[in-house]
Amino acid sequence: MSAVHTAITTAEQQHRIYKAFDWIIIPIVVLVIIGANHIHAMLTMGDWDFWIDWKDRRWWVTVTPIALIFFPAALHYILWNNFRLPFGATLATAGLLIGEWANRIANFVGWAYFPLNMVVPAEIIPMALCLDAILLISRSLTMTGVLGAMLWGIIFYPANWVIIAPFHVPIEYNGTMMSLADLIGYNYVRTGTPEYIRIIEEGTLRTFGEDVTPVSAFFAGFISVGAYFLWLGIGKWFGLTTWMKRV
Amino acid sequence: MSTPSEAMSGDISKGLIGGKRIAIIFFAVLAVMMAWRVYQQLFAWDMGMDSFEPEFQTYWMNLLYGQWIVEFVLAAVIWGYLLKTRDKDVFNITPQEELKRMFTLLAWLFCYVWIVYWAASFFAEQDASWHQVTVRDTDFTPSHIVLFYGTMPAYILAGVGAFLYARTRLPQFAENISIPFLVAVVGPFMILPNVGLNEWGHTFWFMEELFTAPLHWGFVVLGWTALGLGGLLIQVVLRMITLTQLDGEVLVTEHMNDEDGSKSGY
Amino acid sequence: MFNIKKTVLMLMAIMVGCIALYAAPALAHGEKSQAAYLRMRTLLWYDVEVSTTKLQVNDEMTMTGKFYWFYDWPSNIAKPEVAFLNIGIPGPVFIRKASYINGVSGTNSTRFEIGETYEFKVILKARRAARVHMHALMNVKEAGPLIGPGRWVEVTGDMADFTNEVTTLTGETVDLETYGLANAVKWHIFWGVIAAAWLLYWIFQGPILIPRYKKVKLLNEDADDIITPANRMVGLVLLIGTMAVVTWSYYHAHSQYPVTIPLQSGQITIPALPDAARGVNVEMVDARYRVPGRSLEFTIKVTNNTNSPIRPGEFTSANVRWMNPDVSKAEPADSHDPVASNGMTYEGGAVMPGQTKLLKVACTDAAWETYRLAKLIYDPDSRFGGLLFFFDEEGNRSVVALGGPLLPVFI
Repeated sequence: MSAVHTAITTAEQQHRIYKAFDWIIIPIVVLVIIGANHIHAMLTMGDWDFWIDWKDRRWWVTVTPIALIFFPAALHYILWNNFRLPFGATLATAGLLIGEWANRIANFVGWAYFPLNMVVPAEIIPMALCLDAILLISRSLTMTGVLGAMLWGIIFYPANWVIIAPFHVPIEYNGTMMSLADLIGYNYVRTGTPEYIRIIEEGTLRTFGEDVTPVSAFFAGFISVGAYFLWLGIGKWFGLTTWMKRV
Repeated sequence: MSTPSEAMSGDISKGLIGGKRIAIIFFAVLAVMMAWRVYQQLFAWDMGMDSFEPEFQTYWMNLLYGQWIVEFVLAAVIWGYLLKTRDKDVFNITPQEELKRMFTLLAWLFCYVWIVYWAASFFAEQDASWHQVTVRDTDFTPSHIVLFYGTMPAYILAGVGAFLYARTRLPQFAENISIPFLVAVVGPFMILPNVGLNEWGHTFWFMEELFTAPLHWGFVVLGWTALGLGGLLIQVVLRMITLTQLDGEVLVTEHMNDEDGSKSGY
Repeated sequence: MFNIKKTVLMLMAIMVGCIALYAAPALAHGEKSQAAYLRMRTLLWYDVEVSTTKLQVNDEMTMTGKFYWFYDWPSNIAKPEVAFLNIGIPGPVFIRKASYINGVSGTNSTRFEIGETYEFKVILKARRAARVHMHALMNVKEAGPLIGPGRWVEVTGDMADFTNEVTTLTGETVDLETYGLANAVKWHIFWGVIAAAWLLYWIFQGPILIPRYKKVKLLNEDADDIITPANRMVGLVLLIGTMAVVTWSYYHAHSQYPVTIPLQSGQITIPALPDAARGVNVEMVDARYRVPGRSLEFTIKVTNNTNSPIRPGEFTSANVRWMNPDVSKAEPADSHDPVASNGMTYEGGAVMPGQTKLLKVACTDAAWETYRLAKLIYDPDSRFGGLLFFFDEEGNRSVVALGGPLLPVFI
């Protein structure tokens, strides 16, 4: 049943078509990942990502890794299972960052005139590199879920500290102590974003000492593991090749 | 977009992508998106802050009405054309023709996802840079007019166009309905009706400009459906394997290894 | 012939030209959209002034005024348990250098009492050239923005000259416009390059899609054999390298910035001002809105417990002011300042000390229509509210809140 169905005769032709297929599919995949992952990200952890005065030790650290592991997991399933390609997480996060940077520069700065340092997105590529690397080394989605997703949650804050630490230097301002991030949020007026709308750490009688961040990071890692497996399943579902006569 | 614009002098494997048509799609979409963005830059802060001022009606509501008219006309023309010119002999086309059409479908999909990028990424997050900065005083704000009533109908035009193209010109898609393709087109389409929930919520329920509010999660779930393109990719890959099979080569199929139990993904 | 390159270049040139030519005046409104009964019965602003309306980039201006939390707060609107004094401007045309409520710094969110009055002061520094309609504004958690009076303000100059220098508690002086940006961009580029290299490493082993799919199927259970030992070595190097850089950068940042604090999220409570009614009591007897005359007419029973005869000089609600020029004069500050200079008349004469007497007050102006306050009678709750200002012979002012059901008169 071969000859009738085929459009070509030589291996050279086949190779050329395979290459052409890559060249058109890769841009499609990249664009759809930027679009879909970005709308997912902005509406699940966007507020923390937009503003420097939202990047706190509790909620930002907890919410961001959990929300962002969905697409990497789905892409891991589709790309690994079908093609043995281990770059789903990096593709998802780097794509997201392209979308975020384009928007922050063109719109937050270019339209609303906020200073760029106020709206720099969180750094998420190191986590993705680890997740991909663990998949490649272990060649196991299960191992990647258990080890990689845990690591994903844990290293989010350390990987970002080098970017946000300067904004946590204290300042005395009108008789109050603030971090520079708080001050930027106060200085640069956002009419629709009052101070209280920030969902940030407020402290409890159980936030002992300095361990707010590690607690948040471990929790984020733990949930990321669960989310990773859930999203392997969802990726599997989206990757089904179902045909139906009628719908 | 019915035929690749580069000549295919004999060898079917050459010029399948059609660089020229991809470039035209790329720049045409880019030009429309940039026009919207420049329009916002010129008239949003200036004429778009108070929906009860007459200039708001002139610059923004008229844009909205204009968009609606153009969108309905384009939908009728493009979808109508695709249906009207459908291949009545679609089940008897040559493999070469099918291969060419497969790449035309990919050009349609490129158009679709290129607009999806602008809608779901660029203009969607831009919405935050407007609403977190201003006082919302109408459902039709300068960012919503472009995002919900401009870019989203635009990708629906292209997405449904792609689906109709496949349905009318590719035998496999004409014979059966590809569920992942349907999901990847209908899901993002449903984002537009979901605007109804959004405006209802912002009017009666949720007064703060919080992007991560549960009110917005309908958009999130429907955004996920774009992943249906993953399933479509596998369907297309499988068909491509058939269309490019060499003499003597084992035909790879999705379920070729199934007799010894279905492969686990984990 | 249609030339894509040329057309695109031309389009881009036109766009760049448009953006370059674009000078940005801007409105900042939105207040008229809110239902009239909500605007009249939530936050009532008065005495709002700005120190200047024309300034250069880097110049400072002050906005001052008072606000009263209406006693008959609509039950469907969240109470000001958490609120934040804000400014309605289109993006950071100004930066907020300082804000004070009754003299207390307004950097934190605040709790307010219904039925009480507070005064505020906001100091702003011009950042970007624009003509803006600037509003006093209060955000109330779960209620939304309550918009105060606005003024047209014009900023001239070049945003490039703007600086926002502050000195930290560690003794460093920094410009918040650019602080930390180069470092953030550097790190994003660094990781971006690694990510690109990682993706290209795979893509350039191409074609990667169809051939790899076929191999996965053909190898079946041994599909993992597609991954070569060299691939895995690259993965190992990537993993170790990433972890090493992350660890190093973390400790490096710690040594560079040894003193850091978490984001500050405390809230404060500020005591209210003394009662501005100063011994004047008002009881609403009857209130009607005359649709054809665009006039609010109400009868009130006034008791004067002060030492001096008093007369009503102004009624204000939803940022509109109706003046009785015999007693108190005010003119619109600009084209969008709704002051009806002759808008208020009344019958009944002065209220003597110790006297209780009926006054009939009429507030008439087209503002009832233009500011959509006449819509009150079509609102789901058609009770109104406002502040009535009485003045004694020495010019002392008593501010009294009043309100009640409003009946329309259509003929």
